[in-house]
Amino acid sequence: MKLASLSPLVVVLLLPSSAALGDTFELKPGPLNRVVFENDAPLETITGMTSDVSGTIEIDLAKPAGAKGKVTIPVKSIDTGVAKRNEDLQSDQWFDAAKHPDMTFAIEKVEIPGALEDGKVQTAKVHGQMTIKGRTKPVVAAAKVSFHKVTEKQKAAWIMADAVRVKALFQLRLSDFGIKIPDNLAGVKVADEVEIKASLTALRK
Amino acid sequence: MSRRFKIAALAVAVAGAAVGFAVWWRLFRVDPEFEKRDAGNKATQQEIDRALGVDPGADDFGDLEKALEAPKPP
Repeated sequence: MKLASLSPLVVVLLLPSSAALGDTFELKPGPLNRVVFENDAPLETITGMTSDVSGTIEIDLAKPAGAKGKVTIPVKSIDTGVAKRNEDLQSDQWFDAAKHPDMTFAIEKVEIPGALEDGKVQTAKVHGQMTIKGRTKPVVAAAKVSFHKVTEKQKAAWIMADAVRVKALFQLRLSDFGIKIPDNLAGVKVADEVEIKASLTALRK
Repeated sequence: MSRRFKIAALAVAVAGAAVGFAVWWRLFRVDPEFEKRDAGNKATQQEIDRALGVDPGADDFGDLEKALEAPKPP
């Protein structure tokens, strides 16, 4: 069989998968993204923050339910405003940044009412797998998702291409990821449950 | 109570306060620069929302919590 006769077959085989993936939107570290970690501990509410978010979201705007993607945050980028606490977070007792430098969220599916249209905000549930310290657990995030065609006004706010804006909220337990809260002063200071609030702007690649 | 005892008690109290302050400074005091960065970061998110024509409110996730009852870990 000649190569030329194979080509249409190859195209036909590739079409369904590429159509399902849709458009690619990219997350880059910087001001477009903000992830906040809140730990409501007995003595204080500890807040960690990072804008060092990267990843991609593959989404068919007409059928966003099939969106796939991966969001990565380097553990070292999380800033709690207390130098000693930042150091502790990197240690093997906590996130073990030396062995597991990144935490990731892999998007598996999205429960969303309809197609993403320019400027329309929809509430959704984003299902995915969260990996922290080498352990992976399923997570469901409550989210607001919208698509925006780029305008001159948006360019003034660093949005240089069509954008998918996601505001997501979810909770997880540190113990689910093998992080045992020490039975000492730190144990009093830190709660097992962490709430994560992510404001993300992914730009069309 | 002897004068010497009072002085010793005062010294212990001062030393305790100093240690307490040092512990607070090292373990609990949030760097004011962090608070500035955090505030700037929030403001940027609000600016992005406004540019996109979305309701601004960088950390206002209350409606998400209410509307969807933010899922708890299984």
